[in-house]
Amino acid sequence: MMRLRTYAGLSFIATIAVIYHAFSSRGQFYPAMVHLSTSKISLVLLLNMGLVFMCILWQLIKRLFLGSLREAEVERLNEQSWREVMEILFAITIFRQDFSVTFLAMVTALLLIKALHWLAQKRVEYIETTPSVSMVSHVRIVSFMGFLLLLDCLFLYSSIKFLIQTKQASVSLFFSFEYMILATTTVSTFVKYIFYVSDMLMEGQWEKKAVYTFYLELIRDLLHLSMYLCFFLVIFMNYGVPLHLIRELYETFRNFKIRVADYMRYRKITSNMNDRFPDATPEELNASDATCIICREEMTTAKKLLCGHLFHVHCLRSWLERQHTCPTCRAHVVPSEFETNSTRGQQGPRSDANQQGSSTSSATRGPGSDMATDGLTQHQARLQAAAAAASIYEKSYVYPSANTLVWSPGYAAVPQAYGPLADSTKVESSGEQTAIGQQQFAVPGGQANLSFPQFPPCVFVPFQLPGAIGNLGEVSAGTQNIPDSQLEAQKKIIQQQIEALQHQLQLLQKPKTEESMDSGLTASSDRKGKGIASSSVSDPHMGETEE
Amino acid sequence: MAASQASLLLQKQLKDLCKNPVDGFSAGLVDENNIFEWSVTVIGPPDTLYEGGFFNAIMSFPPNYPNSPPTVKFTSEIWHPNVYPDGRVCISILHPPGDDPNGYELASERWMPVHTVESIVLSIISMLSSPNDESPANVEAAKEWRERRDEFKRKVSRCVRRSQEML
Repeated sequence: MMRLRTYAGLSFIATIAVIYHAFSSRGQFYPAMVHLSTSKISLVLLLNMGLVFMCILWQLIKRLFLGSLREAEVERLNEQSWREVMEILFAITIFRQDFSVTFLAMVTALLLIKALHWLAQKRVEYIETTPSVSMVSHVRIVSFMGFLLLLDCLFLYSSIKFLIQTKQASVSLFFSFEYMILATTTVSTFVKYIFYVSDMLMEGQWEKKAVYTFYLELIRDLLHLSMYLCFFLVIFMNYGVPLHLIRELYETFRNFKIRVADYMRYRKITSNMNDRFPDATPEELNASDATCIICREEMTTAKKLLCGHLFHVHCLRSWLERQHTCPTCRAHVVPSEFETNSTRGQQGPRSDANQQGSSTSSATRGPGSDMATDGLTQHQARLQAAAAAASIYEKSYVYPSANTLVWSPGYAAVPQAYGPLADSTKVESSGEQTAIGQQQFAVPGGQANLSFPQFPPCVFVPFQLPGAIGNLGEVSAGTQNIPDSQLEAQKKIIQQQIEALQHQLQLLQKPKTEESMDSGLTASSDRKGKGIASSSVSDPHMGETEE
Repeated sequence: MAASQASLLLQKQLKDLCKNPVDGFSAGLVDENNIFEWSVTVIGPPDTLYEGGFFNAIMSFPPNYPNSPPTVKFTSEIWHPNVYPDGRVCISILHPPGDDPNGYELASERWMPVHTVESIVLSIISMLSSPNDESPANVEAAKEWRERRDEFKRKVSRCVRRSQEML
């Protein structure tokens, strides 16, 4: 602000000096004017004065409608304006035959008006995410958007009029296009704001808001995309390749694609939420403590995910807008997605195994119900969640976990990433999982569902190597429909496990040096009582130190 | 959309924390009328470099909590690889859900709606006791933590002393 003031002051003095010089040296009005418009120095200084006027006007408008800018807004302004200046320079090269003072003035005006649009968008976003907004700022933003729309329409009108009058391609094409884009942006921002206000008036009960917002953005993107394409073609026919449009065109296209893909996925899941996710039975509700983990409110009706966790319908829906995993254990909500995801990371197999395992066996319905059966209080449950969070933080490097072991009649996988055998904790967990998994053919692994492996009393079989193998043998003999190749794979896995366990035995006999490394974390959790430490086997190191 | 749900949930957590305080930190509101801004004092975990420090932080919740994570910013001076020089805490569970655009974190390590004030602060305590220098927020601090541990210790103990003086 200070800089602008000194700059404006200096320009003003220079302009006065030039005008004074022109009049004093030429004497009469007409020659003085001729001198002013032909001498290069005076022309530059006069143009500079024009720029200063525009900037001051811009600052005044900003003051009036927005007040002082927040840090994020300034950041956005700086970032965007550089990009925009570059693109406008490209545009100038394309329209170089129309280059004139008016063109320059129009371009500057366009730049400043665009900046106001970014600010308006940013401010609306801010208002939407701020809990208490004063009446004054509402009035301000509404009038600001009205003002911008008026400005856009005026400029659009004048450039279109000019186009119609001259009936030939000129730089007005560029301006009419830019203002068209700006006008649609303003309208969509305004509609978004209206959505927000009406949601507020309904006291946040408007469930459809997200859907409408989505449609709004979809329509806006579609409009922009088609406009960009049109303009691109028009410029290409008349002038040549419009360099300044390439980035925008690409970005709009990419956004549009992502948006559509997201929406398809979301629709697929929520369209038949009622059928896809079964209602929880009263027994299930009673078995857990009937609190929705998202809003911590009591549930009278609930939806059950494949992994067995229960949620309110509306809580679940609002989370699924963001991500398609279980809020508690991150199992995928749609099992069919698993096939594509398994190659991408360690997430996939775990969740599917978890889903299969827990949905077939009512005893291991998931951590939620296990908590209840163990009589843990809600407070302890929260501590466990906290410890799990801590362990997630700890886990900056990836444990190859037992999740790669999946045995089920319909699906057999050879471990893809059977980790280094020295990783004793991992092998240990897979061992435990084998013991649990004997009932359901699936070996759930991974952090989340590993949380309480030793609790469900009816499932837990103390791990004994021959016993486990015997059980697995029985199981595989009992299931006729497992092909030989799968049996082979299982055999291999079991052999690998035997090796791994022997290795682990050796390791256990040695003094464990890594234990001391983890003392920090265990210290912090030990203070919270045994509750977490014993329950958070999700962090393998903790489990190890417990022994 | 869910401003009322968020405020109910936060009020509930506040009541819970008042009733059953948790060791290691204390929490309250910055302003009685704004449930979305919490002021938290984290006590430096024992047996770590931060032992004995009292670090103040501001936790700001978005209106759509618990679907989006809050931001945590230390107001006390703190020297740590995972705290930005301006005090913002950088831990993966506070990053919005979805895949990391930079590919550093798995979606599984990011925000989940089950996190509460308590679980977040406990993660921060855990962060204090074991810094993660893999993807540091304060590169300088991470380098010191890795290469010049003495220098790091000195700076941390200065922060601890200063935080005690501020009490």
